[in-house]
Amino acid sequence: MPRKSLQTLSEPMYYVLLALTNELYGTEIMNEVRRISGQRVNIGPGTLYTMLDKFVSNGLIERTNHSLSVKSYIITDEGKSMLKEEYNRLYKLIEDGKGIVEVL
Amino acid sequence: MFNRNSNEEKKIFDFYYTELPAIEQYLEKQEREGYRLKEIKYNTTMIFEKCEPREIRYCAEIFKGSSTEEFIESCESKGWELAGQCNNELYIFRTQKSDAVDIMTDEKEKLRICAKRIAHQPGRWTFLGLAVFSIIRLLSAVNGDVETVLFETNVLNFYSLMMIGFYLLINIVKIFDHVLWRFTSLRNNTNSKFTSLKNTIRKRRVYALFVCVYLIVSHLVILWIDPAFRASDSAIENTVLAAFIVCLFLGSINHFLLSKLSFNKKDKSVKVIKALIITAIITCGLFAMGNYSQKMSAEFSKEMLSLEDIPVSLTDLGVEVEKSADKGSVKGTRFGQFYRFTSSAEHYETGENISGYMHYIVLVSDYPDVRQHFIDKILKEYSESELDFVKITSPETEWDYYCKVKKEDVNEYDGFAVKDNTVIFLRWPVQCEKDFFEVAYENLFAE
Repeated sequence: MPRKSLQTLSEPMYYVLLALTNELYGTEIMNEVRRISGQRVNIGPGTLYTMLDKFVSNGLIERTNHSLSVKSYIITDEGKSMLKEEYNRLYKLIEDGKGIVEVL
Repeated sequence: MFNRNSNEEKKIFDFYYTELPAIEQYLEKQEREGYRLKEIKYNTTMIFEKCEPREIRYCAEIFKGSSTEEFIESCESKGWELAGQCNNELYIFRTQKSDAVDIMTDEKEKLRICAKRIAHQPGRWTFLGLAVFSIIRLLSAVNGDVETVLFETNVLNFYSLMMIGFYLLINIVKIFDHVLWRFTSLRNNTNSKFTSLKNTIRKRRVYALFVCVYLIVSHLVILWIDPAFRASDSAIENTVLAAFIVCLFLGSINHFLLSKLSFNKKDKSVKVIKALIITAIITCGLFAMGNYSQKMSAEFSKEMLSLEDIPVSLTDLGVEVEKSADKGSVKGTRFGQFYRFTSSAEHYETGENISGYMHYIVLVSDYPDVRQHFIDKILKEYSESELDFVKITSPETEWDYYCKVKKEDVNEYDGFAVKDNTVIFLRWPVQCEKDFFEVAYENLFAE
C-alpha cells in the first residue's frame, strides 16, 4: 500500500534514492545527486525535503540519528526494491529502443 | 496610520497560494524602491524597513513537513536568507546570488503542493459557514417542528439564509476558480499558470466587486425584510440579528483595510470599498429610522381599537403577490408550491402602512389530494388544540375562512382560507389588544 502514491519514480526521486544508498544528510544528498548525475541534476532544498518526507511516509527511506539536530537518511529494503524495479524498467526502455533508435 | 516611525512601513499581508510569483515580484519591487522585508508579524502584517535600493531575488515557497528546520538550514547553505514566514507553511527567502539554485526545482511537485493548500483555504471557510448555518437552523428547531423550521417565514430563517447563502456562494466561486486553476496547471505542468501580479490585481478587483455586491444586496434585503419582522420577542433571534448586522459592518471594514493596505497597492478596489462603507452607514441610519418608525406603528395599532373599518378581505388588506408558485413542483405529498406575500397597501383611513403586522403563506394546488391533505392537516391540528375553531364565509371574496381565535390572548391568531383550488394559510403575529381582534372577528363574520 505505501507505494500506491509512488508507482514510478521521477528523475529527481531516482537520483535521491541512488544517493541514499549511503547514509547522508540534506546538503550531502543535494551534492551527491549533482555528483552522480555529472552536475546535470540540481535538486533544490524545497523539492528535496518534500521528497524526503514523502519517501519516509512511504517507507522507502528512514531517518537515522534522530537525536542530532541534523538528521540523516538511508534507503530501506523497500526503497532498494523500488530502486531496482525502476532501474530494470529504465533498462528495459533502453533495451527496447536499441535496435530502433540506433539506426535512426 | 499603521506607521510607528518613518523607517518602517507596514502592509497587511493577504495572499492566495496562486499568488506566489506575485508576492515575489512585489517584494523585489519594494527592494528596488528601498524597502526591505523585515518580518511578517501575526501572519497578517508585512513589516518593511528602509534600505538602500537594490536588485535582489525573492522566492516564496510552500513547505509543510516534519523537517522544517533542516529545510531552512539547507536553503541558507545554498545562499538563501529567510526573510519571513507565514502560517508555518509559507516561507519567503531572498538572495543576492544570481546563480543560487531554485528552492523548488520540481515544478510539478510545487504545483501539487500549492493545489493542495489552495483546496484548504475556501474549503475551510465553507465548512465553517455550513456549520454556523446548521447551528442556526437547529436553534430554529428548538421551538418548533420540522415544518415550521423549513417553511415558516421568520426573521431567523431569513437572516441566516442571507448571511450564509451569499457567503457560501462567494466561497463556491473561489473553489470553482481554483479547481479550474488546478486542472489547467497540473495538466500543463508549468509554473506559468501561477497568477502573475497583473492577474492578481484583476482578480482582487473582481473579488472586491463581488463582495461589494453581496454586502449591498444584503443591506437592501435587511431593509426590505426587517420591518416585517421587527416585532420579534425572541431574545435569540434578536441576538442573532444584532450579531449579523455587526458582522456585516465588520466585514465591510475588514475588506476596506485589506484593500487599502494589501501588498498590492495598485488595487483600485478601495474606491468600491469606500462606497460600501457609505452604504453600510446609510443602512445603519435607515435601520435606526426603521426602529423609530416601528415604535410609532406599535403605538398606532393600539389607537385602532376604536375604528370600525376593519379589513375583511385580501383586497381590503391591500395584499400584493410578490412571487408566483410553480404548480409543477408538487411532488408526492410535499408541498412545494408555497409562496409568500405581504400586505403593503395603505388601507387604513389614516394612511398608515401595516406592512410587517401580518404575512401569509399560500399553497396553490391543482391536485385535490394534496389540497385536501393540507386542509385535513390544519383541521386536525386545530381540532386537537384548545382553541375555538370557526368557519367564516366572506361575502366580498367568496372565500371560506377557517379561523382560530384565542379569546384570552389574541397574540396568536392563525387561520386559513379556501377557495376553488387555493388554500391560504394566514398567520397574524400581531401584537395588540384582544379587543382589536374581537372587533375584526365580528366584522369578518357579519353578513
